[in-house]
Amino acid sequence: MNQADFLQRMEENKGILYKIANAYCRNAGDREDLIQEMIYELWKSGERFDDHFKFSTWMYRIALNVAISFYRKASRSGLRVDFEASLSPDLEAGLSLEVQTQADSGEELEERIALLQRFIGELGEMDKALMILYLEEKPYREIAEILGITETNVATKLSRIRDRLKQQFLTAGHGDAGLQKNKIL
Amino acid sequence: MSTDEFQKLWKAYDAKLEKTSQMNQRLFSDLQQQKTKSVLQGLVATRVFGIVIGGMYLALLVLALRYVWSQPVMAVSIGVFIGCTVLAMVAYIRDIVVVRGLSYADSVVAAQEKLAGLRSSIIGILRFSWIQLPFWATFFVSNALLRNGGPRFLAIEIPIVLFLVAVAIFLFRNITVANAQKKRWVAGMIRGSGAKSVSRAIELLKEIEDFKKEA
Repeated sequence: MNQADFLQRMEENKGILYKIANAYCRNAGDREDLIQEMIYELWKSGERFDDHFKFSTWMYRIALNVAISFYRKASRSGLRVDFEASLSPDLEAGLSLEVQTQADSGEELEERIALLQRFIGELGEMDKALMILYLEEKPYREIAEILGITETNVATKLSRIRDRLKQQFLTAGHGDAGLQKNKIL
Repeated sequence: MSTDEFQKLWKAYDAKLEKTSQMNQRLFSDLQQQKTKSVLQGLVATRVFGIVIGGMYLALLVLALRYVWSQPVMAVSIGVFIGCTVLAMVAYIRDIVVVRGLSYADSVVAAQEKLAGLRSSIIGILRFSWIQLPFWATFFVSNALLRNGGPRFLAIEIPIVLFLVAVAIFLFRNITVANAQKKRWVAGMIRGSGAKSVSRAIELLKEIEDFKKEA
């Protein structure tokens, strides 16, 4: 993959990096480093990229692997911050690699997105990866390929995580009715 | 797979993200100058540092062994120190080989298993390092001391050595990956050895184990 191809593909898929970085790294300061590290590893691995492979599968694998490793690195140096404490600034993060929300969004929608992010943040490292891939609407077969587990396992685990998340939404007072009210359903 | 409410919420979140970063040429010059320090580079750096320090220590031990060659107790003790140091260095070299073969393009489970295994390999090194404990009570026992020490020396030395043997066996048996999560003192010893990421790695290994299990 040459530089131009790489840049173009990164430009097209950079949303993936932002979302994974947001899910795994709640500290705004560290998130820029995480995205840089993902891009670095993608570029480094690009030389070995096999065109028979699906690009997104390859990209998700590298981004998730870097994010999971980075999470531990941040924890080790005590940089990981409490999720609750960093939740609001995250939605308005001002980074050089910025992830900003638009100001005109509804307050309740913001709240639900924040809740979803919080629940994802509370998941284990592997469950979090699984949930992100599911939310990205990846087919089970591709999720299984990215994570290295069977499709049956993907289906079973997803079902459990979704049930748990639904329960958490209900407990937080945001059931299906609330979602419909906000025209999300 | 049908789109459910979480996926719709995620789409709404995606739409609200403003991705302002440009993937441009400057990014490339940063990458080529390797301003980004990867986790794997960090792992290799600690192992290389360990090998360099271990190599210097080993050289000193070999010199000492030549000097005390005619003193059996001292020679055996230093021989054990050499053996343990070599084992640790071999483990570090093996880690570097694993890092070189590790690819982030592997499946998440496979890559994280290798990475967490690398991080927890310090437990094995720590475990073996305790084998040399009793020999710290014998490395100074020269032929002259054995000849002239008499029963009083033996009455002090033998219980100390036996005690340290018991401690070494106890630690060797208890410092394990499983115990690092079950026993607080084991976790404390691992943290104290400078490997703060080990407990996180162990947690992840356990999580991966559960994750791979078919329900």
